[in-house]
Amino acid sequence: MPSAAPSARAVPAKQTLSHREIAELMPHSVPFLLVDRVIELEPGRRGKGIKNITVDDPLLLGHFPEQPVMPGVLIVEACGQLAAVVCAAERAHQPKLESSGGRRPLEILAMIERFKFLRIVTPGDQLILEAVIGKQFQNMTRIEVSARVGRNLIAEGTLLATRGS
Amino acid sequence: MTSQMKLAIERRSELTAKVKNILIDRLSLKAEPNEITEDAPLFGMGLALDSIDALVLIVGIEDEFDISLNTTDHQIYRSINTLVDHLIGTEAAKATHV
Amino acid sequence: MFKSPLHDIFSAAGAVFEERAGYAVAQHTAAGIDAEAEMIRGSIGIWDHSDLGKLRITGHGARELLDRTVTGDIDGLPENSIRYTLILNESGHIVSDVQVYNNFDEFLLTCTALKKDEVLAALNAANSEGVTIEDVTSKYAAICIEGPEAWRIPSALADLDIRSLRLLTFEQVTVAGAPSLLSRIGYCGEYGYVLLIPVDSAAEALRQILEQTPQAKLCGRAIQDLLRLEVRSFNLMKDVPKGESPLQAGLHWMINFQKPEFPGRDAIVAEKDNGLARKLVAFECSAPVRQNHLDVVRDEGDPIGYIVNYDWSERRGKTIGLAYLNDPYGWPGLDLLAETPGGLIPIRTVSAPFIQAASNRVQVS
Repeated sequence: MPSAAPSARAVPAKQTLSHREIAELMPHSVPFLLVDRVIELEPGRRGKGIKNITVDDPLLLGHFPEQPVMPGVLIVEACGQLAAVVCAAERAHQPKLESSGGRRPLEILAMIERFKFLRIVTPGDQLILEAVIGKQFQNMTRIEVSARVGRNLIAEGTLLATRGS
Repeated sequence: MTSQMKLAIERRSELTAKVKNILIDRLSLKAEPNEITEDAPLFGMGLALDSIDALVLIVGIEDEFDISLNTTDHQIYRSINTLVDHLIGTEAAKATHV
Repeated sequence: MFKSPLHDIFSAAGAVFEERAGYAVAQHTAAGIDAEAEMIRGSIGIWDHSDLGKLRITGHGARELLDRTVTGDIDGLPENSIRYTLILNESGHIVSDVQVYNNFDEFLLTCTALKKDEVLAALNAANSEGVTIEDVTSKYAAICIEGPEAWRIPSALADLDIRSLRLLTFEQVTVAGAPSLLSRIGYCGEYGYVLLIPVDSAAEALRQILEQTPQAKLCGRAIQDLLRLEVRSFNLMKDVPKGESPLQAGLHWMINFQKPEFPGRDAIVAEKDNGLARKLVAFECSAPVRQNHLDVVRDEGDPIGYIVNYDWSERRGKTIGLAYLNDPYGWPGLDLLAETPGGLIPIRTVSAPFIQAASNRVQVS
């Protein structure tokens, strides 16, 4: 009889997700899907992602014509979207308990508890986004997020998001 | 009044003041502690907190008391008084593990 | 004696009526109060509050009049919203609890029938701008619906997304062909709705409700006292028998201390700053105690307070109640004694609300 060795299914921390895999998990789409790639992922717990800033980004054309700068609120949005991917990845592993008509639950921003913007972001930068899922109560989740370019901390903050449908 | 009762009242009073201050501070309430009802329901007809307020309050209490709060037992979150009950309970539990 | 337009329907359910402020009020139905409690806590209970005092306040200055008469904020009350608040007299004692509705170009104020005249007097005394105050009590019936499943009825009755009707808000709806107000407001801690409907359409509306939702059962008013007590809802007729102040009764949340002016403000701010002489505290005791048998509270030998409101709670499996305790006894977690005709019995002060209503766990769909 083969020995029943327990198969260690470790949580894949270095899991990466391509843009297509991200799009499948999320209700967002271009031009408002602000996470290009996920480079580290612990479903439901934390994740790291990338957003490339390019000179032809339609969201930067008017901000500002002479000097394109990524708006702070879009940095918040990109961080929030990464958090949403982290949560969605956990749900993707869970058995579907009931049919919700094929509709994905929406993670909606409920509160920007605090956010600091330390440096501007310009075309050519690659934003490394990080999200750590914290305390949860009922439908509300608290997330610590940050964005870096290289070694420089660009922004960091704390968001509350609620799960609706 | 027995000295035991006196101690219990002091402890209760202290913890309640602390929780009220956390509530006022973290939720940026324009209220003083003596303007807040301890027995009023936290949600609904009473203090009317929403779930954002609740989570911010929970994090505030965790930070100030250096503990982790159970967020699935809703009985804890009926009122400020029941929150304090829980804090006293976890304190007592800690004490017996000395 | 006034009879509600729903009188006959309740009569048919075996209701026992008693006179209250000139109205025949159904105290309980043939089912009995224990069954009625189970309906309201377990599915849907419907009772008649048509005797509810209703005042329509219109005209330029209506909002300001209300804002300076009640303790809560009316200035910032949004349209379609309700403020549950108090009217105090100049010495800071409670005249009545009231609900103020912001119905676009008019305000509606509701209060218990027993205090309507005093509330009217308070408004009239403050009415320096000729605001129109109309007593519309006899024009509208009030059907109260409460319970974890109560949301099914407004969903069926009025074509609206019931989830969008948040607590203390209301919508104008058409029921049984009549323009009515459906508000989400409840006092027992469960999902609760009040339908204010013109008297001529009330009976038809109730018949429709009962037909469409067979699980809904008629209840009387007597069970309200216990259900409100369980969730520490203010009971004007029980909680302040000696004119105790709203702060002593724990009603700070109904008062907007930022407001610079309302009757009684000076008195309660002074009391707040000096500290409360007594506090209304919740207590429990394991023995079932008959009405009118609990009185003075003692610590060992000394009288330190008195009991005002108590009853046996099936859900707690204990006698629950409220007592005014002198400073410094006003805290949960104390073992004290209560006087009964048969001697002293142990009671313990506890935190309120006594129970978590089932509705908190219900997902409206």
